Amino acid sequence: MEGSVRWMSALLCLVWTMGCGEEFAPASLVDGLRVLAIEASPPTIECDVSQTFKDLAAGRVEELSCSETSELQALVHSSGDIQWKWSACLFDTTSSNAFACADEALECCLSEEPTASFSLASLMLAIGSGQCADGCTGSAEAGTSLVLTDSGREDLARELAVIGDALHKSGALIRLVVTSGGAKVEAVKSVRFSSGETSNANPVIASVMTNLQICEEPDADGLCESTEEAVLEVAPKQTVRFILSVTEDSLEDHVDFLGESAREEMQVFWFATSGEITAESSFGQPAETKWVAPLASEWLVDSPIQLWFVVRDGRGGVTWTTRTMQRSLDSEESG
Amino acid sequence: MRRTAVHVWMSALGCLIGFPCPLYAQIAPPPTEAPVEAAPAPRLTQPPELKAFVEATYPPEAIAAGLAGQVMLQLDVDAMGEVVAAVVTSGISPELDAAAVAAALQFKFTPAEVDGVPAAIRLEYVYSFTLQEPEEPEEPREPVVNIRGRLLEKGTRTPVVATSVEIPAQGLVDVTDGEGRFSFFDVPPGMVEIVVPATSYLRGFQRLEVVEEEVTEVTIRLEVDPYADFRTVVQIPSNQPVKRSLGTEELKKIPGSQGDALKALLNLPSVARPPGGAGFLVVRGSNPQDTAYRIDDLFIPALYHFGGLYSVFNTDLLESIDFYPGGFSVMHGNATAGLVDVKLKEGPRDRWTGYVDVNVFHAAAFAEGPVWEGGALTIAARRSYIDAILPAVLPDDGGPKFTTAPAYYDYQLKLDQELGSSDQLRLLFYGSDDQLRLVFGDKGGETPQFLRDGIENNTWFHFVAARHEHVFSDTFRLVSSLNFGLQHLGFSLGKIIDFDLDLFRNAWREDFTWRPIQEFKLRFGMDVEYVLGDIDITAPVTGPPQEGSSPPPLETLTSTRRETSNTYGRRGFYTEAIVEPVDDLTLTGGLRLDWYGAAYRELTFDPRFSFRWLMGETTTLKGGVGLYHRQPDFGELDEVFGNPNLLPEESLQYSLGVVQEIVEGLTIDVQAFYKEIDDLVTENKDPFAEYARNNDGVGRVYGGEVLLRQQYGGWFWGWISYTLSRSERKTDPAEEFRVFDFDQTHLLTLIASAKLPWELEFGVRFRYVTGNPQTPVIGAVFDADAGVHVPRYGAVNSTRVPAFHQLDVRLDKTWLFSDWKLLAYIEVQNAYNRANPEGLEYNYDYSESAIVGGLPIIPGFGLKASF
Repeated sequence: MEGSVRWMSALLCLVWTMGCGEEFAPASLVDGLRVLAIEASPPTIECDVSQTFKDLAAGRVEELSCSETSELQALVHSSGDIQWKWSACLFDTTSSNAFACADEALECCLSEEPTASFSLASLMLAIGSGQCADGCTGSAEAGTSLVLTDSGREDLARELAVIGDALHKSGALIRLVVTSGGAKVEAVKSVRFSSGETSNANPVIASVMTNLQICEEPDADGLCESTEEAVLEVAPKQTVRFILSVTEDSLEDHVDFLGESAREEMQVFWFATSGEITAESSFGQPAETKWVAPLASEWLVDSPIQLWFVVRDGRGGVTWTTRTMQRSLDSEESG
Repeated sequence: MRRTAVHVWMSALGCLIGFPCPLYAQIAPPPTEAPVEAAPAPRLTQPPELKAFVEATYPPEAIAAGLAGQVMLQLDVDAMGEVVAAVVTSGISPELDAAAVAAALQFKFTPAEVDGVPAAIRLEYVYSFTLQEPEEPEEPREPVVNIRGRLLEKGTRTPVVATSVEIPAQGLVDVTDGEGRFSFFDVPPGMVEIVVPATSYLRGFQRLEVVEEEVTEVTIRLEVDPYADFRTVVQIPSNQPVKRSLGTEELKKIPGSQGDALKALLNLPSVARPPGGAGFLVVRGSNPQDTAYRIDDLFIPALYHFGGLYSVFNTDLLESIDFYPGGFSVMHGNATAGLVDVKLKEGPRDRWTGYVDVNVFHAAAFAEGPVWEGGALTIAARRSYIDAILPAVLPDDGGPKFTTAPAYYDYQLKLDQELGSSDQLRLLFYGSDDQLRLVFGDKGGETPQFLRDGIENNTWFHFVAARHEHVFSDTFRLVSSLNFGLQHLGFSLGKIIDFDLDLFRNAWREDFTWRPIQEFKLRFGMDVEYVLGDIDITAPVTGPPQEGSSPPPLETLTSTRRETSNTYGRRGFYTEAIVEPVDDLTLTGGLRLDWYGAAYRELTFDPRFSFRWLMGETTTLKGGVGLYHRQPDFGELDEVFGNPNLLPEESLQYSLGVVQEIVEGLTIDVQAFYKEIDDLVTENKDPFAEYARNNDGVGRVYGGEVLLRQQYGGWFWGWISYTLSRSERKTDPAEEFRVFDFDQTHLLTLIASAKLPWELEFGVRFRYVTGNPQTPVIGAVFDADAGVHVPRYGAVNSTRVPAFHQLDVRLDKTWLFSDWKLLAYIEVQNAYNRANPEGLEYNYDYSESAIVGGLPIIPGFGLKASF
């Protein structure tokens, strides 16, 4: 009874603050250095984590399981040059301390490039060979002949001891730190390990339709398909609709955290460097939003506005697309 | 026997006028010379007149013999009119003759005159003795009531007892009896004025006509003198170090409490102000669940509707509320902070009373009165109507929508029964229900998935309680209490959180009191509580947010589901001795043992000691020390969300204070306190620990409080309370202490209420409270999976929001009618519309923050018709 009082009190505070207080700039407005998305391909690696640890413990480094890699890339906005740093560690995916490594000392740098690769085997090898302590390991691959040092073995043993019974709940915590100018942003993403219960892939965008008449034959709804390559010309204050659809295969069936069968639901996050977006995120398929172009006084003719649409499937899968909006030359403000 | 004497003037005077009669008179001596010629005879020129008659005593012997008649007397009257001799010339009997002579000798006459000169004279007098038939003695007549009346208080019909009623013109006074009745006897017919002199009531007056051989009935209704001390709060000297007894009449009038006595507790010293006006009590820097709530010494399933809107018990069932911020007796266990002990009042056995109350939130009805010999019934019910209003006023724009608008009701049915002279029985049926379902709607797909299913609250309970008191003798008393019933707690927030708890709860208490002599009292007893529960919980594995924790955004949480059934039980045994070794000194020592059984097994011992020393007439010194334990909550003991191996939390409390009566009715109470808390249940920070909770937390609370209080009952009452305190915690012994979530350094409350003319009553409440601690956000991390930023926090509770201060005002107006009264009130909370900070809100990446303001100015009103 008393615990429910605390939950209800927290809820009261949540409801209280929803819609109350000051209006901040919307999250959809992108300005300065921001990480909008991180993609891991695949988002879930099918492998047996415990087997990897057993192999390591037995010294079987040449044929470590969980050597499959996940390729990492990020959608980052910055007005200047970006410095990158990717790192990874193991963590308990169900812990309240969502971004805590199992062992803070065993978080290894993966790359200082815009992209990185991760595999559990590579991470464990980096730890075991002492490379983790030396700096970024680069794109390590399973099967590489690396020598397990004594201290490395101790580190691995400690890692295993810390994780302990949570091994089956562990995943990889990918950390990305980007800096540009004096700004620094940190983002995290998890890569799960699956023993083959259900597949998990990144969604695929099928189309992005718009009400802009940019095609010769609009569909029955008067919509035309837009592409990343084509710059869209828009008048100041013009309202543009975007309707995003993913492929049917993207909606994967799985078992949710309640143990019930469920189908993935896409959530689309809409971003823009200027203008106003009516819905910062949308659920369901197809997802729709409206973007209102800025006033003529606020939009220079040669200043394109960038839009991004990030799609998340709720299970770590993500994809995105971008659109470029150009102010039309002969335009006046449209109602 | 009455007798009369008839006096007859003797006609003998006639012989003095024309007839030669023997006279006894002073006449000139005979001449010595031979008459040459005969001188003229003396002539009576002025006869004597009897000017002073003396009634003869009728001799009893003569009366008994039936003797009557006339006694002939010869009287010699001198020239002065004095009777110098009386001779019986014809008598009746010696007794009568002597009586006549004795009386005649006392006669006085005007002097007779012979030839114009006062002279002695002799006359004859007849004294008559007459016997009359003795009258039948009159039967003593019973006084006859011809005015019968009653004094009642206007508006309430309460009999006015032991009060003088007068008829000044007749010099008649009577005093009303226990039912307010009076009567007057033998009041002469005609218009009379009945007056009731002013006492605690205004002067009463009634004019009426008394008709012969009729009884006139009258009822006089008196108005209470608003400036009189008509209700006194009996200060029961308490052997507890700190106990504040408050009458519910007093608490109902506090502005900002909406007439709810239990909400008014929030105005007492040592009670922190909860955020957002929620109704839970934070007592001396402790968690709300550390304070126990009792009604007639048994648990209350819940105290407030919707976490603080209104209490679930109608205030008018309550006799008083005893609030212990700490240091309470061994009678109560399973609490480590304070105790709210509510006493129910006895129903009236003389007449029925009740009311209907309508205000902004709900309508309530209440009635109580006698049902049969020795029995009194009380019925109360209350129902909100927000659910009827809200759907009509909220816009239908696809936004949040109530599929079940917030609604609550509660009811109480109580029977008090006297069973002979030594037994009293009470039965109580009570229940409450809160319902709410808010669906957020789709609104273009913007609703976060975790909230898609909306918010739902479905909480109810229905209980039966019984209490039996048996007085064995003047020194030995037993009270038995029982409470059992069903409780359901249902709460959900989308898919992330879903509680469904179905509980059967019961409690049983036996309390023995033995007082062989005035200076010694022994109390011993037991109390047992059991809970059988079916629990179905879906919640983040982190469990409910713990004190000091800052939960991450809900979008990032992963929930898990748990269904289980469990039984929790506790048996408590206690004994306490209250000793008065010398006058004015009371020592109380006790020991309590609690055995927690069933699914959770622990044993605790709680020794407690207190003293009270009356130093002189007006000063009381009090103090105490005691150990207290509390079982962890259900959720904390769960193996998924908590830890089944947790120990009970523990607190060691010290207090010392003095109460000084400045003048009658005005007291100042100063207390200092210190509390150590151990085995606090905290969140396990180790992400790979087996259980999510441990007992590593410790705490300490210290401070002082001052209460200056003007007693309720006069034209003015109120109090000023100030608490200076600090409450600290650490969740890991290796950490430094940091402030508690609800630590409020300064807590000032001013309550003032005054009775004005025209049945008006005006009250204000002012509060100043240090801002609540906040854990600052020092950065954020973007969770690329959830698409939201997650804050990074600095030192726990290392900053504060600005201070809170608020003024609430209330105005009551009463109209008194003969047999009922109408109360209307207006209440304005936050009268100067201060935007009090309740917390901080942040933008999407926590790079900007803004204060979240509390409730603005809120007017409210209500009407209450009572009879």
